[in-house]
Amino acid sequence: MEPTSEQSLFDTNMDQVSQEHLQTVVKWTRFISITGFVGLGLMLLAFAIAGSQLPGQFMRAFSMNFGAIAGVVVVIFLLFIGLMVAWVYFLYKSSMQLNEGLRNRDSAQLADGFTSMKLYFIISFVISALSIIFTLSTMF
Amino acid sequence: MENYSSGNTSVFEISFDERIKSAMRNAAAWAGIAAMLSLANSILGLISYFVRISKVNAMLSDTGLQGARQPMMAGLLSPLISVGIAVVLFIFLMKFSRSARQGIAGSDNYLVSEGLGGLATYFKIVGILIIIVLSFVALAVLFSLAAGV
Repeated sequence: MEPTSEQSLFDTNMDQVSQEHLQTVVKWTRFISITGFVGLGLMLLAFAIAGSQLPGQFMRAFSMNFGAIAGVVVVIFLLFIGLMVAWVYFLYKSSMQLNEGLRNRDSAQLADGFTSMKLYFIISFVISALSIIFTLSTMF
Repeated sequence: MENYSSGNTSVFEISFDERIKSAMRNAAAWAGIAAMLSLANSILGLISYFVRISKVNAMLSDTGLQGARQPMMAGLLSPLISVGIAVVLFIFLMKFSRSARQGIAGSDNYLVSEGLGGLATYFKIVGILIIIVLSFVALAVLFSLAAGV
């Protein structure tokens, strides 16, 4: 059989131990991402409840235009939530794709799972970078 | 029993082809970068704590309120635990990053397996930490309900 671009003669097979490790990854990433979705849902609910009480408090606390402050707060919060949702989503997607890949013995699905995991780590990097910037800004 | 094949994979084996190698290599590279930045973030958090403490202590020295220092030092526990957890997570994520990339580069199944073991342990620790935090939250809710808050 001639080697193709998808599979060369030098390709190896994933061993049993690696597959067991991947099963563990699938199990825990699914738990973490589902817990993350629930946590984010609760956070949004708390924000919605608190948000209905905030305008009056802001109006009393600041004798300036409330609309501008509320707008900035809402935009920052929505950006934060968006980042967190994407973070949890890619972890969940990775978990599902790795699981399907292992179940169907499909290396293409496993590759997609690792690509989603890469996006999860990229967002982790962005979150850490933003946290460092915030910490530095409060230090000095 | 018939061994069905579809594309480049069979029912019994998962082919470790170029596409999966490339995807795993990229994931491992970003995992390493994220691990380093996450550790730096935790260490910076600890440094930030000491900066705040020194500022507050300077203010207290000016006002003569030295007794308030004790509870502030107790607050050191939280950033220390945070750094401890960050170090452990860093070790396992870096293990995945290094071993997986070396294993892929050298076509060494043992190293790839070791790397994936590091990744599995990393997510297992994160999951267990979430369970611990959720247990504390559940206990706090139960106590507050019992206290009639």
